[in-house]
Amino acid sequence: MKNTFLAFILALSALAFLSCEDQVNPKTDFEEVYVLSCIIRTDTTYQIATISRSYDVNGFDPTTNSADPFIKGAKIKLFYDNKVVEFKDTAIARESDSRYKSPMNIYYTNKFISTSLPVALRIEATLPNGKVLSSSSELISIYSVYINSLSVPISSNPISSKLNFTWGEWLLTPNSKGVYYAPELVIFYTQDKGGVKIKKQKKVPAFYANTINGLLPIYPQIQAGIKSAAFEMDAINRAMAEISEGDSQKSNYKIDGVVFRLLLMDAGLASYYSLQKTFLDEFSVRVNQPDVTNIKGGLGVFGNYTIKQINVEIAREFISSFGYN
Amino acid sequence: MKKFTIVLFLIASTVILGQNRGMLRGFVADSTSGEALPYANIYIPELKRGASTDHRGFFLMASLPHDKPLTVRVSYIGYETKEYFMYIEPYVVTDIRVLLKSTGVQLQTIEKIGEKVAKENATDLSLQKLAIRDIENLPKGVELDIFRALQKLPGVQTAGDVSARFYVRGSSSNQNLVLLDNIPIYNPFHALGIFSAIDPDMVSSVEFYKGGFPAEYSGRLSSVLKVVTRDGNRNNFSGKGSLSFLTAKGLVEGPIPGGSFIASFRKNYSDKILKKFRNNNSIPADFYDLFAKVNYQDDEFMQDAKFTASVFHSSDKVFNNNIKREDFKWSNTTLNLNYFQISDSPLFYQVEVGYSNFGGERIPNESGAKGVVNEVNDVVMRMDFSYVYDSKDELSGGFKISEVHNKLILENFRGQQKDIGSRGTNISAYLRYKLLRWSFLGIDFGNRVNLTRLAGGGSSYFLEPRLGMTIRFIPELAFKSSWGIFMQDLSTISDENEVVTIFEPWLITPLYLQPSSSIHYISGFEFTPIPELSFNIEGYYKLLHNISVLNERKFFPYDNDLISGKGEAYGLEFLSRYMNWPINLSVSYSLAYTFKDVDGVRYAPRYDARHTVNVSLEYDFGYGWSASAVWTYTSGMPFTQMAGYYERLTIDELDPGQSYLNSYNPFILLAERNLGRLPDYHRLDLGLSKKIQINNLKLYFDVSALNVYNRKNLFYFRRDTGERVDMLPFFPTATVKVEL
Repeated sequence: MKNTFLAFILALSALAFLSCEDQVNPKTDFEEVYVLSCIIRTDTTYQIATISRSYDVNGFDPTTNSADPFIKGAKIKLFYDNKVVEFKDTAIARESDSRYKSPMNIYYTNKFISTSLPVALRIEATLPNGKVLSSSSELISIYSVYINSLSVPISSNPISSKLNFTWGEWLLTPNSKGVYYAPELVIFYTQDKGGVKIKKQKKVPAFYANTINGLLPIYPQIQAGIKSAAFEMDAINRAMAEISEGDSQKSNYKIDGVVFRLLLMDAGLASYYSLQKTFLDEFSVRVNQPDVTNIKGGLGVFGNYTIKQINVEIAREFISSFGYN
Repeated sequence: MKKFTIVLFLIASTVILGQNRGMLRGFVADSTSGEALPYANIYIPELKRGASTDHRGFFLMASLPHDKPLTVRVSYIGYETKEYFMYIEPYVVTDIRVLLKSTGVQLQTIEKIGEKVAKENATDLSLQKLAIRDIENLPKGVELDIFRALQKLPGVQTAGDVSARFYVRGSSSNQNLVLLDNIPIYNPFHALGIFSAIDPDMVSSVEFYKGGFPAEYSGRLSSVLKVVTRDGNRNNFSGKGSLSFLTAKGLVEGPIPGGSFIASFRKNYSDKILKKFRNNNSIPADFYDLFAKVNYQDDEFMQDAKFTASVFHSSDKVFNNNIKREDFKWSNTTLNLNYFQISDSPLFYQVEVGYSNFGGERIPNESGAKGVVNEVNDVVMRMDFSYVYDSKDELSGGFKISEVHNKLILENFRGQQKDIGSRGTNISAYLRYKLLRWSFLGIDFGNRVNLTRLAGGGSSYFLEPRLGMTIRFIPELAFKSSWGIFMQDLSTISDENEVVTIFEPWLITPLYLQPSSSIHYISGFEFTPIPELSFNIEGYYKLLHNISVLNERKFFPYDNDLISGKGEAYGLEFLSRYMNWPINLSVSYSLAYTFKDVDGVRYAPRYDARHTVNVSLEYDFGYGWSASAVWTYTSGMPFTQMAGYYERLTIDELDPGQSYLNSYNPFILLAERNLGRLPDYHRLDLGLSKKIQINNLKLYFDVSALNVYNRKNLFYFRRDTGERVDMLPFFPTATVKVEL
């Protein structure tokens, strides 16, 4: 019986000689995929698109790739409001620290004219090899939304603890998928740094939240269907103070103005833009990264946005209370 | 479904009238400690009838003739067999109390006939009953671990050496119900899930349903692991202390007036050994668990009643002592008050009040990680009864009220915190009837009705019918089958992309999703050509509906955190056992297919192993020496391969005037989800044990070698570097235990 036991152990141990480490490749066969990226800004005629192809490298460091993946020779068309706008291809110089040495192939048009009404918008890119990438959306018209003008200035003695902004939608088609809003309150200022004047801007959070990490700035989130945004006066005060935090020379700062900005975007761009940055802890191990695309036949993003903004009055005495000009 | 319940009652009422013979009820215990012996064998040769004790040490044999003397033979592994010659009283229950004397030998020839006959028409498909001594004989590794022992059973998968989590027949680990003395434990793991938090020294027995579990269990879709704790030594005070490379632990037990107590404590004193489980990276884990139980059973106070109070607590901390890194802590606490009553008639009933708490927290400090706070408070009240008819049929039933308060505070990438937990009450009742009057046939049918949903509102009326059946064609061969619908209303948010998770936060299924449900279809054959040798083959098909899945496409704060998915699992399991002292050999093989369907994409989840083989051999050399070997083989698990890279447009801010032409960054292009397969996994573990007894002093020495041939089993690849991260290498370890 003892011999049986020993024989069993020996038989199983013999498996050690079969293989101690199987070779397996975390990569499968290279898959050629095309990536169309085009973000239309509807308040300008100049629009840009890019098309790139996927690539592979020896090893696992993609920055070792030096073959430019951006391709030329594709036909890109934009369809909306019974119009067709064709993109032209060109090449532009890259920044000096780019890992690609050749000029970057891009597509552009300066013939885009937005509509006053929201209309269906479609992009179609036919690649030199005949492959077609496409995506559909809805054009966000700059005229579709109005911001109610604000009469209450930012001052040291506000009549409310919050600064409220409201807006409304003029015209939406019956089947509209809706507009996504990203409200922002921005303070523009100039810093005098040894005689050099530097233009800067500071985004004001809606409020500061008490969290386990201390105070955290909470900015308004991208949402559809909202018609207002509010910024706590405490948050404005704190943001104003943060402009010169750590600098005793307050007079080196000049407040140029405050703007309430409303970014309007379609669902595709809003999803892409909002894709949450995923933070992992030290011990959890995530093997896949989240990704999102709305391009049929490939990857990438197609979306459009526009910006509406109004100036916000800020009282001189309020600026002076921080020591700023 | 109402008809189903009415029929059940009618059958019950007709057989109540049929009592005209005698019954034998017994309690089997260890003669030294007085502790119950679960799953002991009882056999009456004159009638060729048998029974086995339940987890409390009780057995009941109905419909016995009262006009002739009977031999009652009681046997148990490692104990001297006892025989009683007795007459059974007519029309009443005859009680006997059996105290068996330990032979001092771990494994020995035992009376197998009783067990075999007891299983004649038992509707026990997919049920594994394990006494703790069955588990103790396996290679212990760093710590003896109940969950890891389960992973050797066919149909039970693990996601790797680094985790004691288990996956049963294609279900995720959150679909397993873990009960400690009938109270659920929500996260029974230590040290990132490497070990279970239940100290085996406090365990008496384990019942594990891999599927098709009866109506008395509810709340999970896949399996039930019922851990029954020891009562403690009723006759003498004793203590145990043991030391492994990871923990030190102690246990005291002894008699109290009218009962007994047991208390155990375990604490890790080093985290060095944990590095081996994580590619030599440090895990600054600090954990402990404690358990205490008091029993009171005094016939002068209350005839045939038993009162039990127990408390369990486990605590884990992973503190980095570095403000730039995040910290973790989690704990489990259970309290249980139980009143168990045996009546003059063949009726058992119990009333139980329990409380289970899980609290977990990820403290981000200044690491950039996001905080998570999770808490589950579950107060359970239940009443169960069981009645055995003279025809041998059994009726059982009960009701349960579970009040759950759930908190889950998540922090989004902007630092905003939100509690998405809720609170609610689940009220349910069940009735179960076991038709056991014919020795060749057993039918077990029951139904549980859920009257409320934990999240409140919505469609709350949910029925969970269950059916089990056994047909024994010849004494050596039985066909078994079971079917059932199962519901789960509390689940974890588990991210399938994470191969290592600290803890999975629990969440009451929100109202925007239906409760998860599953349907099990299981059939199999049991073949026992000789008492020492058995073969079991089982096939299963399982459908999962409305399973809660983390919404990977949650882009906006108002998008739902969870979405609904589907699942399908089917497979075949084979298990053969040969037990003939000094050899105990088991061989198992399972063929399994598992699929998930989420967002229109069908894929194999990470724990879908096509082929699994387990071979386990124990050998008793005598003189206190024993050895064991376990070889495990699993075909490669799925993973998502890389298909290249692409330049992805990164938009940090939508600012006026920004062209984004310099905002392209490399991004990994993934192939289809989980289409790749990791290499096959296999590993041999060896164990050698020596027991020395000097008067009342017992010394146990165990030496184990895990992954003897140092197989480099791949755990995962780091996508950024391509580095392979392997599982546990060759790993020798030892424990010493002193018992007084």
